[in-house]
Amino acid sequence: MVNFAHAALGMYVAFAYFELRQTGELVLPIIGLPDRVSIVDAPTIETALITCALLSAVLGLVIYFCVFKWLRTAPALARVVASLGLLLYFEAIVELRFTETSATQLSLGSILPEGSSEWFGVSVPNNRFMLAGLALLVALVLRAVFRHTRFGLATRAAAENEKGVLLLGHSPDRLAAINWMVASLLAGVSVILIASVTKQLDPLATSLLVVPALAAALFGGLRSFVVTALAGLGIGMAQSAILNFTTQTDWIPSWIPQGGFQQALPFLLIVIALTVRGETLPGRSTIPESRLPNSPHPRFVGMTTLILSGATLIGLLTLDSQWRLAIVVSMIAALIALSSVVLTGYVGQISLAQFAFAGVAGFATAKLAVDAGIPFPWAPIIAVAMTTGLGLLVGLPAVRVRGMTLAVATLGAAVAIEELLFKSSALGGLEGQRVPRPRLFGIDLGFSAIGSDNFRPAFGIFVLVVLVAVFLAVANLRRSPTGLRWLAVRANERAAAASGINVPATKLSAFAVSSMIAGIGGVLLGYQLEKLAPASFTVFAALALLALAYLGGIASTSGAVIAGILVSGGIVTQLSGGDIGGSPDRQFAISGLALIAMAILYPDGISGAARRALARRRRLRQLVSNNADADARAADRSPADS
Amino acid sequence: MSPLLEVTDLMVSYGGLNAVDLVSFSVEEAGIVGLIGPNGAGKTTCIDALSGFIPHATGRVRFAGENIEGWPAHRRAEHGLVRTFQSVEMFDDLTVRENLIVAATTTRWWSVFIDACRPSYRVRNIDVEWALEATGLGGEGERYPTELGHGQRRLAGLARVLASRPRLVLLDEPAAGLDSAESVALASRLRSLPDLGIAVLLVDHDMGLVLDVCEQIHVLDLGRVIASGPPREVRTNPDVVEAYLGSEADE
Repeated sequence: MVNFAHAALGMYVAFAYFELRQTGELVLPIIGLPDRVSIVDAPTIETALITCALLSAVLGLVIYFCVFKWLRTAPALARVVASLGLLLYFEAIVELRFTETSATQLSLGSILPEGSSEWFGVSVPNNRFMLAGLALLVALVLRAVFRHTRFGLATRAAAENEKGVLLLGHSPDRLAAINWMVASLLAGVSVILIASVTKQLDPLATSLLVVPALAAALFGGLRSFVVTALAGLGIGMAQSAILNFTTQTDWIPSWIPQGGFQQALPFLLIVIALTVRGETLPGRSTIPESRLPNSPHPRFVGMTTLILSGATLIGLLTLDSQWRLAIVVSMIAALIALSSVVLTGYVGQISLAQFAFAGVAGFATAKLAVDAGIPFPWAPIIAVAMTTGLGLLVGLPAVRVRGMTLAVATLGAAVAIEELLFKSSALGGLEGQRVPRPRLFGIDLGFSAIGSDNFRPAFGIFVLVVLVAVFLAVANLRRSPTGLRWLAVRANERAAAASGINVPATKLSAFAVSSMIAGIGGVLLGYQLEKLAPASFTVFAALALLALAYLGGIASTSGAVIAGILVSGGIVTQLSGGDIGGSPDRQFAISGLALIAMAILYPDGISGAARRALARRRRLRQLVSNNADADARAADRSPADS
Repeated sequence: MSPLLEVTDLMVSYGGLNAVDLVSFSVEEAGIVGLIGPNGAGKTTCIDALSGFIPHATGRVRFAGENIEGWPAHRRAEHGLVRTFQSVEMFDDLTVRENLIVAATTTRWWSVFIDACRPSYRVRNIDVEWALEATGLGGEGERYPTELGHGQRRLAGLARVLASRPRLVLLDEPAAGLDSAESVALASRLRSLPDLGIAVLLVDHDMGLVLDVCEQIHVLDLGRVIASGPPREVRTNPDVVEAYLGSEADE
């Protein structure tokens, strides 16, 4: 189990700790329960720390029993989505229930002693050493526990084979619950310590600590505590060293953002770790992942496309400007979701980097048009081609890994792309990069206009044409030998290889197609926003979009359309008048919970659930009419009998 | 004429253990060769190595005049050396016919672009239909593998390898879990394969099927070939009797 919400949980607990220290109130993270309960008036460091350690352990327990217990045998994707839901939930809860945490609040009595010592001419605060020592100590203790106690042995056995452990008289549930408690406790306490040492606590950045943490865990092969701890320390030190180095030298081009290399390092390490450990085909004893959502053969493609695009066209031409904006937002989101349908739905490769690819294409289009003066159809075409190449490049190491590990690697790639490229001053930095209006054969296809003409239908129609073309192409691929090969690889890599399929090449083809689609979506997003900034393509938006695609139905083209309709700012938001479920943060929290519930209840997503409901109704109706026939026959006969 | 498949000193070791230890044998064009042995003799490992699933296998493997050692699995399959799996391993998301289409089509790197524009299965459909008929699954093409009974599932696995029009099929315990009637039907289908120009390497620990079908048999025990010859010689070979009885007495 890889939990992307692990650092987010720690982040929440750290917020709770500092709030508790200041106000004496413990903030509860569950919607529906009272916001906060008063513990003591002026808690000491010890009380607060112990309370929060307990809080994190209890949270771990609740999370296990409410969420992951039900997903133990679910496909990796369902577990990824559930943990993304949890991540969104914690983000939203922190925004909802805490006010801005200031630096003064964070310096409220440090937990570890202050003071510093001189090492190789550099002054290093002592508490850094204590933190490092503590991490190693915990790793050693964990190692001892998991090596030499019955509990540790049973846990390791349960990770290999739950049934076997059950037969030996251990409850895998209890083992898992205890491990969740310990892991959550460690996450909570360590983020509290880190925040109290660095005097920084940012909801987003802290949640993303999970990336270097997972990089370290991958180095330890998800097995060795000590190697993981050492790798973690190594990554941290290397990051500081890089930061130090980049601020002192001047040969590094100035367009590379400060901290870019530092943030990209985990990805590089993940790639190295995976390339060394990965295998291009799983071995004979590899337990196959349980199945992904069913990928139905698309039917009535022509008719569906005609009806949907007709309705969209009418909407674009008749509705007001806010509606036009909502429709365009939905269409572009559907397009980017289609890229996940290809890669994740059809080929089973969980990629969290699709939105980053979209960003690369968006920025590249702007750069090519503004700086190189390349006119409209060519700038985006070149940009999309570049993005396809980048997708292949990221896919190259990715073909050696599968499941959760791939999700971690692509998340690392997304963070690296965001930090190194999007934040670069050459791309406008934080102010953003202007994207020139598209213009074809003298027709202005730009989105914005003055007054009530704003959000011009012309752009909407342009987006619609592109979306329909891509939609049909994906539906065609699903119905072609290429699509069958993709699904074959998804179902069983070994059998696929035995049937003459070049598995790595097949995965790469999907990476290419998928990043091409994401690129097209990114270009359109650029034209829609007319100004791109790092905030246009954040990792969190990427996670939310993948989650939506999963919610819609990751393995079918209609799922992408549903994802587009559901996207924040899209058609559903417009329909609800923008105030469904209260404030946006509350909405986020609820959608996080909805995501978890969907992952548990309907792994096929909305489109799959709808399809099954339809099939059931058809069967039911058949049954009813059969019974009615029988009744009628019985009625015919009865007069004769009497 | 040189044999279709010629294996010389095949060796697979895991740690210090030699799962396959200097095994040599050959399969003639359109021949049926059996590879038998008690559980753990290295039969499946042999098939894994020959079909390209064990990259660290050593030894010489010549197939249809080419040295194929080091080739990845898919390349061997494309050249007509295909295999089935002990646990069948169908693509459960695809119908039986689609499973066969996957094996019957070859794609090039530009196929993606053509397929994106044109949704047809451009297939040598004859091969798929032929393979369905040859295995008696003509009526089951539209069903999903999970809907089939165990015997039919095994046949579907066989149909999938036949759909690629192979020159040699490596069958890994094709009769496992079949009842005796199904097993007899399978035997007659296997016997007909050489007439279609397809050579067979049949692996099983069930002596009955192998002795019945094969012209030439090699007996493996603990990774080594302990006997070779036509069925009636192997049946009476004292080493074989001991390997089998010995292992069964242990069980």
